[in-house]
Amino acid sequence: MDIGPREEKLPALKLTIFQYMIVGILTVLVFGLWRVQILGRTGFQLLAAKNSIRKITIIAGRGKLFDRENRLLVGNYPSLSCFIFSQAGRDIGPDLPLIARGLKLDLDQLRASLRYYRAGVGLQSGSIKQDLTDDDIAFIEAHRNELPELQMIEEERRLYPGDGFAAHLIGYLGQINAEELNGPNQTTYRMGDYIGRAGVEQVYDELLRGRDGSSDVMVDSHGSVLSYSKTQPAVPGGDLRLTIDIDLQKVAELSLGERNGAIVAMDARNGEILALVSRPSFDANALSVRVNRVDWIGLTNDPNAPLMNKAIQSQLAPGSTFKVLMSVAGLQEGIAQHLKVTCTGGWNPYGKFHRCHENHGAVDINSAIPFSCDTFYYILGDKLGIDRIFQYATRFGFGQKTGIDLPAEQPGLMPSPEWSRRYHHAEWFPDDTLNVSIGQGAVEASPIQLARIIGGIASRGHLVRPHVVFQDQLPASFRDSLLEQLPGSGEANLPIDPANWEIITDGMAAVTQPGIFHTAPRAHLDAIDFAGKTGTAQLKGHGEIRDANESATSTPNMWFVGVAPRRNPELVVAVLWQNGRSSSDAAAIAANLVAAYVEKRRRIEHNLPTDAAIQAEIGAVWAESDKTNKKGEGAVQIRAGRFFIDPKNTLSESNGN
Amino acid sequence: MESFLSRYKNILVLLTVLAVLLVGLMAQSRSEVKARRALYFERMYSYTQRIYWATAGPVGKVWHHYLELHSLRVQDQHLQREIDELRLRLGELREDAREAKHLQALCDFEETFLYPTLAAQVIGIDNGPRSRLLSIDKGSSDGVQPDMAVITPDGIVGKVRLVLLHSAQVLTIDDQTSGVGVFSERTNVRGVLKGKGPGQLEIIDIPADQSIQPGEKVVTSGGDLVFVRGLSVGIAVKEISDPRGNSFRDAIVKPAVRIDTLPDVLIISPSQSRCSAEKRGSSSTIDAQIPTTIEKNQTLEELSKQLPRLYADLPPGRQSPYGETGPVIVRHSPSPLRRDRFTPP
Repeated sequence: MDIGPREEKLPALKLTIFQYMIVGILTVLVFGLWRVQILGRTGFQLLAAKNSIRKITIIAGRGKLFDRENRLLVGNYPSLSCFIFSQAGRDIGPDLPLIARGLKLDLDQLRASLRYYRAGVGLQSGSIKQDLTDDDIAFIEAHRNELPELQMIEEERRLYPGDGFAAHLIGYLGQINAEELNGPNQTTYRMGDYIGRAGVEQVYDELLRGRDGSSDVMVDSHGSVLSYSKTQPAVPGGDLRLTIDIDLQKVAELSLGERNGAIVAMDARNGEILALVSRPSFDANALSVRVNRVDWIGLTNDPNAPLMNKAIQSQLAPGSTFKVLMSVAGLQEGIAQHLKVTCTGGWNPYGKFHRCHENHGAVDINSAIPFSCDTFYYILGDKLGIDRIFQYATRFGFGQKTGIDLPAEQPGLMPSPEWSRRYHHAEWFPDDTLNVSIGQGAVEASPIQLARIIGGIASRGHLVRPHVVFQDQLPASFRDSLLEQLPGSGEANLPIDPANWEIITDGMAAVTQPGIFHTAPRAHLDAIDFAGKTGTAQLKGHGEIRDANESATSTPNMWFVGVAPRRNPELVVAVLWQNGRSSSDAAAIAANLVAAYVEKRRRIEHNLPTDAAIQAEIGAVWAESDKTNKKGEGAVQIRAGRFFIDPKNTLSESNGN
Repeated sequence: MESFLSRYKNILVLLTVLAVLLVGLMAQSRSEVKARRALYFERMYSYTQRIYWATAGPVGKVWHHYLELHSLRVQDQHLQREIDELRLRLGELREDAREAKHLQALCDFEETFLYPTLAAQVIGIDNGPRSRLLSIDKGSSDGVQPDMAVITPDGIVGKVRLVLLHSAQVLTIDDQTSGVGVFSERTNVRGVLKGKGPGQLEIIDIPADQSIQPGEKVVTSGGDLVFVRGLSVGIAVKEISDPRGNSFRDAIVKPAVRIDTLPDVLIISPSQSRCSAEKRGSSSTIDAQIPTTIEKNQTLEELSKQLPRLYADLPPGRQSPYGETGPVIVRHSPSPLRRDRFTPP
């Protein structure tokens, strides 16, 4: 059939259109390929690079602290911390407000933390928040796409006792700062590390911290971990056993209560610190996590100085506790045993009247200590002279650190004419000697110094180096470096004539006995040989206090240093109550510790009655000769019975057959 | 028809005349005519009637049962079509009714919900290997912003991830990169809900000493700063061991919302709660049922009990047995049974 010219043209046109369509589609596809593979190359490379390898630090567990009876004092608990990992090509700045809001951080503090971490090297920046809550974890997980830099790492965190218990002795952890990081010969620490601050945490940081490990992890662009490789395990820090006794520490904390001051309880035989308290205290847990600026300023500006360890850092006039040293000097020089004075309320040898707090009447060395007669010691000091006083004082440790293994110990001060000339460009006057003789004037001491000195005197001149950690568990090299880092008076033997020693210790024992003019009869403990010396350190001269209205700031500091038993004591306790009520109260505080210590020792040695009438029941079978003689000579009788032994060691028989 | 009539014209005329005659005769038989003539015509008429009825029945049957069926069939088809159209219409009306009900519920929810919401229609769903994304028909021009929560009256759906001018992408809660802070209503176990794929949700890292009971309702805790507190998430199904082999467990949760079949959603605006004091009272009841304080680390709790505490052994209200600030109370120890080194000489 003849189709015609019109029908013949149509297929060709369609074919052409179809061809052009195919070409157009192919062109689009080729363009798309070029766009992805050529134009987008850089972008996709970047994405691939985000499947990055991160080096994650495996934080080593810190060594725990135990007391002398291996009871846990400081432990660790597992906790999640949030770390920021910097990513190439991504500025996290705009996300900081969201992060601060989500993790409940202060924005300024967060920015400061990031500036701090940017000073470090490597991909890992540092922790921005510890102890993540469930809400924090939910926030991080909910924003994985928007905030891939946030990573959660499990670590062990420190837990300290609450209520500020032994806070100054233990210390706390804090982040290393740039100055410490750049310190000389510093290669151990890295940016973001936590180091010990104050107390045992600081001095023994090297042993407690262990060695961190590391692990290479591959993560995707969302920050999700894909795989682990090359893991180097962490080496945990070593545990330490402290010399303190939790029971005695508790009594010391409760006995001092809310009073400003310090207590040191030490074993006078070997220098082991059994209790150490400073008030006011602080919460070590709060300082270790993250303290905000306001709280930190509050702590540092508090006039009562809660961060100061007053047991080793306070440098205050020791008051009449210095008279024990004066007694040693006077007796050893052969002066005091022959000195008899009549106290009429003071002494005026050089035109200035030096008051005594009482009119004691006739006083000799035996009564001078329990009376704490200032007049006696003015005269004794005048006879000894400042040079001999200085000599004895410095030999026993005044004006020097003790060498206790705690940081920032202060040496106190023992004045002398040379000191006066060098530091005050002033001459030394005899009146100055009289002031020094009663522990006033420029003399300064800390509770740890007084505990060591008076404990040593009561031990007949055997002075010890105080320490809070049992030294036998330390590596020898560490022990040696400790001695170098913390020099002090340390151990010393300064023999005291036995007769003099007895006079002094008996005089100290009389302090706590009832008697007229005795300064601490309220601290008397029945059945415990408890000796000591009170001290009332005026902050102003007698006349100034009499004339002015007394205020808290002018209220004297109260001291008491006690020993039990009086000679070769096991325990020496030094109490400082700043602006306190009376030295008799300071003695009472010390008495509570002594009573607790002695009671515990006696209980361990089964030398105390039990509370309840608990009896031990004993059954026994025995043979005894026949008393009736009915069975013939030499016959024995088998007997049996039940016996009860009561707590008072009396024996009662019951149901004997 | 015309050819039939023209072909059989003569016979048809004849039959018509006969029929007329017969009818006439039948009519006449009623008048007073002689009986014989009437009888004769009556007999003739009855023969005709008998023939008629003898043939009419079968013919009628054939007509009714066969020839007439054609029109019935047509009528039936017509009716069937009508029925189908009505069914379709009924379906549409049902769907409209259902949607109206759904929208009514949405409106009712929106009115009573504490926070202002923006309704949006789901216009697409992306079920990629690693992502679960919804597309909605509201964008930045409608006030939508990233991180806004997306919900329905039945429960949470996800959060806004990417915003365009007139549309937005929603990252659903069953996406593997999503995370939601949740809380079990009865046992107060808090955790993080993670997506594991379409319709699969798990609460991860539940400590070994806590447990979520099957059948427990799971709600949002509000801690992630995306979803407000108290929104329904789903029902706990069972607990399983952590595949990483640690001591934690995971809990499988059946979602409250079937994300794949969602027609409409609500976007929670981040502006302030619009609730009145009355509603705030009821919301505070809800808040009170969900612990807002940070629950403590169990291990931390146990460890803190082991550490020394100063006042734990004292009666409530008592501070130091030695006196806190005033005169110091000296507590004496009992006398020893025998003399020792501490006994005074």
